[in-house]
Amino acid sequence: MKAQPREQGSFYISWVEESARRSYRITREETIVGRRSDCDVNINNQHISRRHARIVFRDSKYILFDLDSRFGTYLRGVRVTEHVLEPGDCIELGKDRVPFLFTTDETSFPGENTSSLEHSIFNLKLQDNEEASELEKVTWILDFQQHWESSFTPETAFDQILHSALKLSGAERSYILVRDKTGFGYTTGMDSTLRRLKEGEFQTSRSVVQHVVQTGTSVFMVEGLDKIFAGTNSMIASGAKALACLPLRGIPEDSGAAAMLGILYLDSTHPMHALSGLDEKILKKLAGDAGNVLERIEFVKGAQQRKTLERELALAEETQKALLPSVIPVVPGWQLAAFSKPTRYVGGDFYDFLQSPGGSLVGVLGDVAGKGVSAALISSMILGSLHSLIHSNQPIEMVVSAVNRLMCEKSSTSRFVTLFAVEFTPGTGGRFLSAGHTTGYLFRWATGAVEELPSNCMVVGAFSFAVFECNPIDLNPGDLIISYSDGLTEAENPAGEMFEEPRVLQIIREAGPSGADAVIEKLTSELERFTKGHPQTDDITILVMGRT
Amino acid sequence: MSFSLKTRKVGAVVLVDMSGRLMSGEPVQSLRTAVRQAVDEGSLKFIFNLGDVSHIDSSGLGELITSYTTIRGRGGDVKLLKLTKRAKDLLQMTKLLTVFECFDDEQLAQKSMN
Repeated sequence: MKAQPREQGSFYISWVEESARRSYRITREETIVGRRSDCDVNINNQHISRRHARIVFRDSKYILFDLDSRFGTYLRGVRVTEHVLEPGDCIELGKDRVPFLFTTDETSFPGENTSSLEHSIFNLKLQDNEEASELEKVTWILDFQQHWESSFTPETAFDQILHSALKLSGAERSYILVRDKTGFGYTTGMDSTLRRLKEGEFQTSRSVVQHVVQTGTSVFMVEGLDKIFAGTNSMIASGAKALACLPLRGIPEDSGAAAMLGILYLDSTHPMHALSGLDEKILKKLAGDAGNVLERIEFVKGAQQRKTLERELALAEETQKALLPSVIPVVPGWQLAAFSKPTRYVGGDFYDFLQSPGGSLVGVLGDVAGKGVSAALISSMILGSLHSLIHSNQPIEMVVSAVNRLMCEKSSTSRFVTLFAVEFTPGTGGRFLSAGHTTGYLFRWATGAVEELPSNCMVVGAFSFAVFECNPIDLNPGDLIISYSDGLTEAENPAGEMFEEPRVLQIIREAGPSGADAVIEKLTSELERFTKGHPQTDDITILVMGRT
Repeated sequence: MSFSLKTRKVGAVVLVDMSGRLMSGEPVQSLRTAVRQAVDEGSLKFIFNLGDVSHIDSSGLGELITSYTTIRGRGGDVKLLKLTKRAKDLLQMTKLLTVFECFDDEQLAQKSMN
């Protein structure tokens, strides 16, 4: 019999079956997990093989082997056939990916808050007195955080690095500098009484840090300072008599190559004897482990940033929806109707019906080039400006000119908007402006004829020198003005054919005599019949207005 | 039809031959990269050959505007060559024909650059 693992503390396999927590303490050299009733860890799940996996204690390690199971054994989503288990590893078995936790804590279970687990890992008795491997545990915990979105924070990990470094080196102060956009910036610090140092107390030798950044190699000055650094101002100010500065390397998420992610800086007003006697190997290991921790922190932060981005998307979508009129206004003498079907998340279409204090009625429909949050934000910005400008009784060409100037100043040049706007002022009749927008239509009730309202101005937001002018438009009772975004005519069916203008014209002719609502109703139902559920790739917006 | 782009240098002029659908994503990105690279190398005179471009979407149009603004901002010029009817209609509708000088003949486009 080989040595049993008991001296190193107990190890468990824990899982949840039918809402009950189960746990198995590993006592043998070989542990079998499977569906068969004679397995050590027995679970009743038809997608787990009879003898699914085996855990073997060999050379002071627990090794997991998949026993050619039908649906496989997984670790962090990757199928494995053999894996050296670390406390905290969550193995997933079979088609249903039933989680099994390899742990030192009988009370932790897969999917639960890892704080107790974190505690157990920190208190884990080390197998071979290597103090630096404290940091390895932090790495595991960060893996956990990523896996289960628990509450362990990068700050706790930094504290652990500082704590270990102080203990190892006998230094009085330790600091971590982390890579940011401009270089390496102070992140956190701790003194030998484990008091957290404030940013104002942060005093490192800039020349030493610079040396480490430039050469990528560590600087150790444990008994007095080297001449090349000793005379520099920042060194004198810090009062340091001994220091160590180590690069922390890791592989950042956005690239495959190892890079310097941070710097660990230790100093002391006395010679650091502990440091001078220290094995170079342990120091390297400390820096290596700390680099790993930084790498995981970057990874976790990346995941958090993605979450933030998704929240922003949802927010932008909400903002845009809030700006679109939820109820079409009722204006005596007018029939107003609109339809809007955005793509997933946010697109750049917008429309509105606005009334100025002077009695003008304005209908507007726009399409911001591109999609996503920025397109949505620009459409929000334009709607906001339109509201305030129209409320100050400005004619629409002035309003659009102002928006054009604003966009040229505020947004990138590749962003532009095509816009259709029509304005009716009592006494002066109607005017329309189409800034590069898809041709609009004017349905004549008396004759059934359809007239075109083509683009008469340059797109908005591309060039500050653009000039915006209106064309007159006369509207008789029953006549309708129809404008839409090209998402309508470019909507595709499963065969890849587009809806196209002729269909739109045909529908206007047919439904026009029945009024604004009938046109929208027929356009949308015919569109649905045409696309047959083929995924929509662009926002679809339609606006119809006419005299009753 | 996928998008492809080739650049060739004739004297001081960079000719960018494009074919396929000039639209958001890779096509727009490759045009941006090609222009940026040529500008970084000191080129200021560009002719975009759109003869084989079947479709331009709003992002494609946006990129033409960006290229124009970037290159003109550095004292250079961009001219368009061999617009299809569809592209011409689009530029007409957006009134960008008033901004871009367009040619059907490469020699004439070249000459206009001097």
